[in-house]
Amino acid sequence: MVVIHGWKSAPIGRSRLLKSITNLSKKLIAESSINLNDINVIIHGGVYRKNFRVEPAFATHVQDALGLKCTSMTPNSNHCFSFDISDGSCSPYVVLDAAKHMLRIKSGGFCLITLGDERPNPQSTWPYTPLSCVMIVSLDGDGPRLVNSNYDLQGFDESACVNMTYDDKRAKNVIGKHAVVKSPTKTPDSHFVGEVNWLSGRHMHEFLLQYSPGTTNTHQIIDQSGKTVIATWE
Amino acid sequence: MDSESFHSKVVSFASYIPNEFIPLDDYASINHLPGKLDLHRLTGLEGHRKSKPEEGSLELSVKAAQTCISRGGVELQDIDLVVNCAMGKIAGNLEMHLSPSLASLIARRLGIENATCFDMSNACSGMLTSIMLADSMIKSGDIKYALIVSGENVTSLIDEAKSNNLWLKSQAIASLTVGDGSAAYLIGRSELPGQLMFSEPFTLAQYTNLCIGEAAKKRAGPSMRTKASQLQQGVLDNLGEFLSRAMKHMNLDWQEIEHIYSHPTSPKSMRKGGRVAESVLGKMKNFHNESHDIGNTGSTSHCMLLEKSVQAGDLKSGESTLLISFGSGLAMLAMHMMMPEGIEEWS
Repeated sequence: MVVIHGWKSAPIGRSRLLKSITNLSKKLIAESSINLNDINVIIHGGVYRKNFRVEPAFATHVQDALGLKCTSMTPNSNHCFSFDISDGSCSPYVVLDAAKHMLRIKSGGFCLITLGDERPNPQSTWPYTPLSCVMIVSLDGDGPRLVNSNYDLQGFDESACVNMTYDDKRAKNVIGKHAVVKSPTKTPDSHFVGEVNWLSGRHMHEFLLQYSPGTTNTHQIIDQSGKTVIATWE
Repeated sequence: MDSESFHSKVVSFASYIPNEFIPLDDYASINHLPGKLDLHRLTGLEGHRKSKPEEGSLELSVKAAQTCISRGGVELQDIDLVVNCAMGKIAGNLEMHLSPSLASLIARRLGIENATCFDMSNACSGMLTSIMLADSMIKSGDIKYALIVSGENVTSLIDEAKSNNLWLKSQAIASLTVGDGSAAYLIGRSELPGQLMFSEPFTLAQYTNLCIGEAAKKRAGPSMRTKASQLQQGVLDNLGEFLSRAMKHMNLDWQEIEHIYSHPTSPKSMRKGGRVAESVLGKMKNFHNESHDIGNTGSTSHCMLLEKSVQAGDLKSGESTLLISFGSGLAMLAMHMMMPEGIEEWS
């Protein structure tokens, strides 16, 4: 169970993802009751990065841009741990589940979660309007509380997997063509269900905007591959 | 459920080491490289293993996972978590898998139906980071068994590097040290405490821009650019303190550890790291530095060396073993495990 202490989101617009995420994180920390050095873990969830970068983890760039505990190791120095996790548009929940465990492993602090995607290059088809979303989470306190999340592979359609592929005409690696599953015609009224073509940051932004405190909130994300996660919040 | 309701252990592990060996002279002889650079003298490397054309990250992962599950004797329906931690997720045709998680495809190929699946990205430290998360999930009671898997189909990096003028693009030279392979670990509950432990995990992000992996320019597949000497120096500058803190955190006696495996960027860099470690903590019993014919296989590297030790009959059940991991970023993490029961019978 993790609790969101605070969150912020914004369209990425023309700026790069790293700049967008870093600016949002700085604003969120400044407006919250915690200090930058209280953050022990950064986890990023997203699929698309500039020029399809895969190494190092995007979260390490965020840590560097924030100047968070970027010092040499001494017997008593404190350091952050940063990495990325992804599962298409279901990424927010695998990240939140990982945060719960990382907050136990690196106890006594907070986890900064960053969600967002950017167009890898101008040659790639890009039907998305992504949002960056950042959250500060911990194991207790006040705020939206994630009770559980359940994943379902049953609807997973392998033809809807997305690959980077080489476009000979443009001499560029681009996002390949892929199928997209149809949105289900019926989902329970009690569920907040986003659009199939939303990416991670937008899913969390839209859900948290309509989150209602003091009641049970159910959030369902259906990835364009048909993978599904249903999460319960209090 | 409190945070430590159960104990955990490595049930089994396995690597698939491709048979085809490509000697260093075939692709990086002195005549191939600028300034008569002798890559063998510089790194201690003799070559690497190359996967078959039809073996991409997915196929490599499935091979290691099948052996691992067979060795562990665990039913597929008992596996609650599948994590893929390959860096590039490169197919045999050099397409790169992006979404959803490659772990979902791996689970489906294996016949695992009810597991949570996701991809971890933490460069060469992705494997140990994933096992650390799985360990916490098992100890908390959230899951019973986790399969952590990676298939690194990365030797196209060598062709990409060689397509450049290495006089001008010297940061591509480190790409000549990579190799293909795959690895899998099965993590599960244990009756005994202390079978699986971790150091504090650290990211020293001041080194984050020293190794960049991304799409190649004007050719299919990935590229990698590395400021290798700066990155190695970053590791060496912090290694002694990191290991001292790791031993203290896990309450381990360095002298009692039977086997030590470090991330093999190259045999020569391993020797340098070994000297730093011994100057701080004393002599090591068995420091496994046998990557000369497999190269740097990214997130699978420790398990590739472990597999070589299994094949050589060097490992016994219950032996104390330390894995030390460094990944671009710069991530530093160590894992201590007791060798799985029945390892002597693995083939």
